[in-house]
Amino acid sequence: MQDTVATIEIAPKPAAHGMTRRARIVRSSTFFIPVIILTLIVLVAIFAPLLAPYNPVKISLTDRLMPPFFAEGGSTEHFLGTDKLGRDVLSRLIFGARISLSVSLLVILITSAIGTMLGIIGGYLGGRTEAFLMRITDICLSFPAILVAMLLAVSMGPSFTTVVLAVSVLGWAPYARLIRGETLKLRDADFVAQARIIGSSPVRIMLRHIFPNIVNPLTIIMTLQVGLLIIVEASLSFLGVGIPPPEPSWGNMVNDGRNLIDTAWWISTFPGIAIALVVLSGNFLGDWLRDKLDPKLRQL
Amino acid sequence: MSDVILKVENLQTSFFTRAGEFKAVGGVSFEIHEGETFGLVGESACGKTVTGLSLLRLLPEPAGQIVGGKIILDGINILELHKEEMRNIRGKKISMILQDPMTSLNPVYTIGDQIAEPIRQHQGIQDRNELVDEVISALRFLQIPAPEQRIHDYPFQMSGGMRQRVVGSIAMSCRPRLLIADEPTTALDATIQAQYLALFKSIQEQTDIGILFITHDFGVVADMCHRVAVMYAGKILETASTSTIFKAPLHPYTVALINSVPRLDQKVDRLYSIEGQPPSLLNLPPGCRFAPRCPDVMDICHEQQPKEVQVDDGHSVSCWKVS
Amino acid sequence: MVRFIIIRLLQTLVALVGIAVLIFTMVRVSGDPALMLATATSTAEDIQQIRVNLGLDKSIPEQFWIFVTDVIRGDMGESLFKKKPVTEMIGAALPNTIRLAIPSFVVAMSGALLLGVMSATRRDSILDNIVKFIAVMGQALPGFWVAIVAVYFFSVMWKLLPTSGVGGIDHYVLPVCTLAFFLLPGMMRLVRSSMLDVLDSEYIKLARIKGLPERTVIWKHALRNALIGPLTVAGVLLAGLITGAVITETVFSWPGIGWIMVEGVMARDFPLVQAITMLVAAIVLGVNLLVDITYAYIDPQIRYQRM
Repeated sequence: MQDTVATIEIAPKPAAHGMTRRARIVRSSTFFIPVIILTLIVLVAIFAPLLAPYNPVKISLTDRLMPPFFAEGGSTEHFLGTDKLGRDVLSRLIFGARISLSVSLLVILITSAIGTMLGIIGGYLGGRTEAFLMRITDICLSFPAILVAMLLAVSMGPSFTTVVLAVSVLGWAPYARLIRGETLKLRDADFVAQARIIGSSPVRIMLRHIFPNIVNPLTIIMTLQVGLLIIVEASLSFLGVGIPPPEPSWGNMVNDGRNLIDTAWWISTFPGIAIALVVLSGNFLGDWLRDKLDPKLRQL
Repeated sequence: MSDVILKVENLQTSFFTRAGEFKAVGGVSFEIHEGETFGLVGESACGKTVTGLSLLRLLPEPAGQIVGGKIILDGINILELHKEEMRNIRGKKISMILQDPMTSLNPVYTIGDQIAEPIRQHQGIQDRNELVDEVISALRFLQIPAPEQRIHDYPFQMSGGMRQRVVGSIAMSCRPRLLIADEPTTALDATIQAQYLALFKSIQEQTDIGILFITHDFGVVADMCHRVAVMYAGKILETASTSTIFKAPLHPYTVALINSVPRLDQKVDRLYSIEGQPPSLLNLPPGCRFAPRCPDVMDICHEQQPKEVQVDDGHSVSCWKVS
Repeated sequence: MVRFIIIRLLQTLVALVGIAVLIFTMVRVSGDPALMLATATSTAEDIQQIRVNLGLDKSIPEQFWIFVTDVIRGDMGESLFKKKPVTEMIGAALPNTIRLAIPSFVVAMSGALLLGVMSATRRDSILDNIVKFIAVMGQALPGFWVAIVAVYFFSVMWKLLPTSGVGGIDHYVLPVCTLAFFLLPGMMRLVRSSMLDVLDSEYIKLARIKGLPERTVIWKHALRNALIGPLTVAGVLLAGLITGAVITETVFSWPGIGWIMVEGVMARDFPLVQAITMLVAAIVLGVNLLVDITYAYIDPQIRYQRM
């Protein structure tokens, strides 16, 4: 703290004991509330068959277009109403959580693995390898996933697999770019030089020295990707190139209710709110993690 | 005695943060005359840079605020000026050189452009050719070779020493009355440092400019400064001419600082350093700020702040031992 | 600088070929496209006929060669369902997309610059908090949902604007605002954080020491450096623009290439989808090249070094 007088930040984040009670509460709620919400949604997704009151794909033409229980004409039988084929919206919402989260988690696992690997390799080895990998990364970053999804949908038909594949083909790029950046910083560190001096192979250095040090930024990226992927999948399903009906995805639920927005607003509204909630929680959690782990990573 | 350019009376500057009020400058007074280099010395974080920024009223807002005192430049208290009036002073009457030449210059504009800016702003010269002439003469003034070509260069094309001269050109371009130099040679090699300081001495002879030289390096003080003030934890402990400070320092802190400088002509077993740490600027002790570390401390030192005492002509100390 | 451009141009061409290969492979990844087009009543002969029509009976390398030469000649085949040359369809739809994309981009860019700079220079003010709120909401709310809600309020409930289709200015308002919504929060956030970083730098302090008016400090000194950051992610922004365009066109039945592509997917019209993908790939690579050149122009360090 010695020579920071002249360069003191406008409002530095001091240790907790220096903060007002109000500020402390606000800060910890940016952790707890998102975590609670996300945990709930994950639990809902896991226990979907037990929690959903109805079969999400069961059609019941007699119960079509029922409003949610709090609106006129609604009942608690169908808590959030039904859609144009009489399917219970709440059940579809619950199963939709399952599908949307599965896609996101699977994609995160695949893309983080590939992206991290390429990022570390590129960042550590440098030279032509790095230049080549980074060019590819740049191209993937500027290529819209939607196009790939549509291309695959045309040939393979829309399905769970198609979506996961489509998003993963390009989705590793953000990881590669950011992890490569982090690797560059570590490459010149003393402990890496040490490892080289004692004769460790590049692979060993990458695994044992570089990787454990990028776990922090990696976790942050992964958390922030959750929200992003939910929206990507929802957008694809909305267009019809994602999860095909009758399987419920929050995206295709919004599409279902699109033309009925004036008469049956609930069909599109609830899935939209669900999406926003998950994304907000994911982003707040990611920001909290970033502040905790390394505020210098602001460009993430 | 030449004219007084700057008179600072009891300047107090604080930083207001969530953790509390950092009293960075707790009541500082000094004078700078024409043609005089006045050194402000002290450890890191003693408040000397904040003092310099306060003179320009360029503290980071809203946290940094001047909370008391007067800054009188050629008879006018600049703390009472409006923002616009203050802006006219900056660059024209007072200018500043920053520490790091690598980051002081904007990387995307040529140095010619950057030197021309204050000239255009303060001297109202709009004609391109006239501006170029002025820029070239500003570069010549700092003895930069081949100035006609240099004006098209970008900062990254120049060495550190050259960049620092460019910064000097910018500072001198409008012939200010007072120059604040904040550790300008810290980032330079020793040989470049010597050249740079010699350059400024000659500039001072030519222009009678007053220089506030902020540094932690006593060697530079000995070389450049006519008078020196020793600062600690936001207060000036002793002010004197340079020779007096070196030959007959009175304040225990000054004595300790001078003893800390290793000497070539003495053999020592251990390097001398002052024990302890400066106090936190959030919770300042009620008495003398140096008391916790002072080898000559007395009881009264912990209880009351010492008053400033004029020992000799131009030599003043704030110490209970002396008064 | 010229050398830099040439190298980048070559890289772009290589990438284009690479993408062509990928597109070609992806379309055939599931095996036999002919089977997809067959109906339940098709006989084996019918399927074989489809194969011949599409040139699928030839060997793979031969197919690829035909594909490439066709592309260069500008012949992208015929749409399977509209029975029109694909290039004709694209030619009709592309101007509509451009008419949508350009105003949206301008709106989003100017909004982002203005709001980003103002919020960075007035930290923690009401404006800053509003901007931060927009940024957060912009990321969380899915664009297609916002579009639908907008249609509900502005077209259905208040009957101010039409729900779909091309036409006069009123037909432009909602689609342009929707597409701008896809872009603005992200851009704004970038400009703001980039400005905040730059405003902390030493040369900005020096600019103020010179006594320059605050206006000059911000818009001349700070902004030019701050734009370098967002420019490097211009590619990503373009991807966002394309995605947003596809969704916006779908919601508003705007007859641009996004919309015909979605319809093409529904109808399994793979010559059309293939062609549009190639086109977009070319656009993406082209824009990236332009951005690289612009970046080199703005940042003199890149310009002067051998890259």
